[in-house]
Amino acid sequence: MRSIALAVTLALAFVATAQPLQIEVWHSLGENFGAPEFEAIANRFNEVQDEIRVEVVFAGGYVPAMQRAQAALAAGNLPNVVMFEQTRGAGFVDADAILALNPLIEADPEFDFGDLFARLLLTCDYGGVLYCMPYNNSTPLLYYNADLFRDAGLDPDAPPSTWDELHAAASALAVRDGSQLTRWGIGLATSPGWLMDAFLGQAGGRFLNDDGDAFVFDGPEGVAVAEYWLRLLADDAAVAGSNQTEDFFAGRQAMILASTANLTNYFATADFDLRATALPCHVECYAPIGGGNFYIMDVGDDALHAASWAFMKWILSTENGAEFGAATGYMAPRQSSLEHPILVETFAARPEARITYEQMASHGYPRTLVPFWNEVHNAYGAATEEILLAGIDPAMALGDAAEEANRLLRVYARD
Amino acid sequence: MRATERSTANERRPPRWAALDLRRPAARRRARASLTAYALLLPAFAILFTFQFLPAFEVVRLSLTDRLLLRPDANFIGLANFERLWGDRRFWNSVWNTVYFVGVSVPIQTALALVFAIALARAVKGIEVLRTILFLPVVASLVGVSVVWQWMYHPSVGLFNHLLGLVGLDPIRWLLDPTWAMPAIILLVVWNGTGYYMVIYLAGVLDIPSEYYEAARIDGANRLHLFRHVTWPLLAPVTFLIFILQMINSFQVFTSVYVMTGGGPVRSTEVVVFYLYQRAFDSLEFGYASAISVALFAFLIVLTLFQQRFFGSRVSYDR
Repeated sequence: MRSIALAVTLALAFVATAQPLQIEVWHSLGENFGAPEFEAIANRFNEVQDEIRVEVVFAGGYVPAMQRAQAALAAGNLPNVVMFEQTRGAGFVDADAILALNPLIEADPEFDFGDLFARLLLTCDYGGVLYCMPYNNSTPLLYYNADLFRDAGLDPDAPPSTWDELHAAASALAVRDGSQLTRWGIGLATSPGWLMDAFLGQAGGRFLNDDGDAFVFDGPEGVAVAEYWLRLLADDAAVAGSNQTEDFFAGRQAMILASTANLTNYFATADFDLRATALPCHVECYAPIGGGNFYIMDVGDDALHAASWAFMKWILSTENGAEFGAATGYMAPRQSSLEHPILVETFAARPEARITYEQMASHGYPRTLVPFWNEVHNAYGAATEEILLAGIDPAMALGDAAEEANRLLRVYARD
Repeated sequence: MRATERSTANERRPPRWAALDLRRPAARRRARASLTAYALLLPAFAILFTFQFLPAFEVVRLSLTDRLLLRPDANFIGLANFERLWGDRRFWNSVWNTVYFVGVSVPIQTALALVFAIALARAVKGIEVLRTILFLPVVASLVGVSVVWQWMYHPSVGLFNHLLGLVGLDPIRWLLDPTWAMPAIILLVVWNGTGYYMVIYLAGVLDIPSEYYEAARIDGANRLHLFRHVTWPLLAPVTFLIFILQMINSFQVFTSVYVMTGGGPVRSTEVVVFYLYQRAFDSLEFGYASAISVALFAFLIVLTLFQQRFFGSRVSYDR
């Protein structure tokens, strides 16, 4: 730790002034999702060196933080470093508000770039340029209630690993009492968010085509996802809803697809035999990488950029990354963190914490990076509701959503 | 003193501009007084101008451009946004949802507010407590209330379905059911807003002189007659005020939709202001969102003028 502090000091020797440089950092981590740990790590940075003073600000959840940054951009008072959710940094890259990191990395030989997980770095890659550093990255896991598995005659040590197995297990877990379904296998989110990435990818499809000039999630793969969901509903294997957590912890829903970031909380909450496993596969295995990343905003002079970069390096260190990952369930961005005693201990006590690293390293994919993602998210969310709740034909519902997404693609390609 | 001034003025009527002739001491005094008045108004006007009027004009300007929120460059595109609005199915769906919301929530709120106001307009011990209880929901933050009600509407652990179960009814999926989501929001808004209008009505009811009721009773009027021929006509100005306030508020319904449904399910609660919000902050089409805003503004102005002409003329302010 001391050597890092020394390196930071040396790297910043050319900006040495009597007054420390002030940088403002915005994060979106909730109280149960690493906020105290992140703030502790950031405050330690202020203790180990004198050149830079970091002020950490909780900017609200992912969406409020993005809106706050939009307002700050319009008003010309952006902070220096901002955490954006995976799909929400693109608008700011599009607005030329973000500093490209490649020059900083190239000019910094002591920064061990190769140690960062390559697949996590892809989430910061906009057309070959690196605009952020992965930080609180996650993938979804399949959490399940092993007590209910046993009750339904299923083997809790052999959880479903394919769509067909998931369908079979979820059907076996269903319990119907007259007209009421009192227990079901899995929940289907009416606003699927990144789970749409997961299912679509597993079906072999993608949101955008390879050239990135057309949205294709309404193709046969998207329709296959919708039809799979409808089969689960028809067989009582699933219930379409939004607040699944309560049903899962009340023992009404046997399985839930949720972020690995919930790992610590879920295991602390469950009063039953809670287990977790990797996402099921279908045509292929596919795990979307969610969570947030840190961006250096293009404000201030080179000295402030260097100070922001020094702070980024601090939070990305092997030890600090391991500490944050162990406390939350998010993935430490560096491969070397996995060998750090903090994470080694965590994995020994909670083997499930390793799952996200395994599926990320073999088949983790970035989300779609377009400046108008929120609206695409709304569009396929509305289509999902139409399919799951209103019985509208999947090809038609998804077609409408893709049309809206493609319209925006044209709007944004105007110059 | 004013009378003598007027009588002298009658003898030799000064021209209108004479009031501005600063050589006359009276005019100078008057000019100074109005200058003081304007100076006192200035801070409030400056704030209103900067934060209300200027943005309003800016919205009109933006509505004629293809401005995207995070891109400073924008082209003037004339009325193209309004043309698009005219053919936008989602916009008309949101108009229909808003009309549904207003059409159901306004009469219910008005009727309930009136009923409560009349019921509470009597000098009974402890009546203030009841009035306070009915007014309490108004004080609660709509965001907080919406979050709590979201839980009460939860299909399996929510309070409402528990209550339905007690009387032997099948559970409703409330916010997840395209048929029930809007009634669920209306129920919340009625609960949250009625107390406010009740207080206005209460003031109106208590303001009616008791002589009218005495006279009517002597003429043999029963309770229904009293309401029909005394209370209701004398409350007309209050009803008119409440109606206009509610119309303007209800057409701008947003918070509960934003928190509870996000416009869903299947766009069944996507009201105009929420659709506007999505255009402004999700697809970031600020120009188009401004056009929606201008259309809503124009509609509300027309509606208010219409109400004033066809409803306002029947309101009697005389007693």
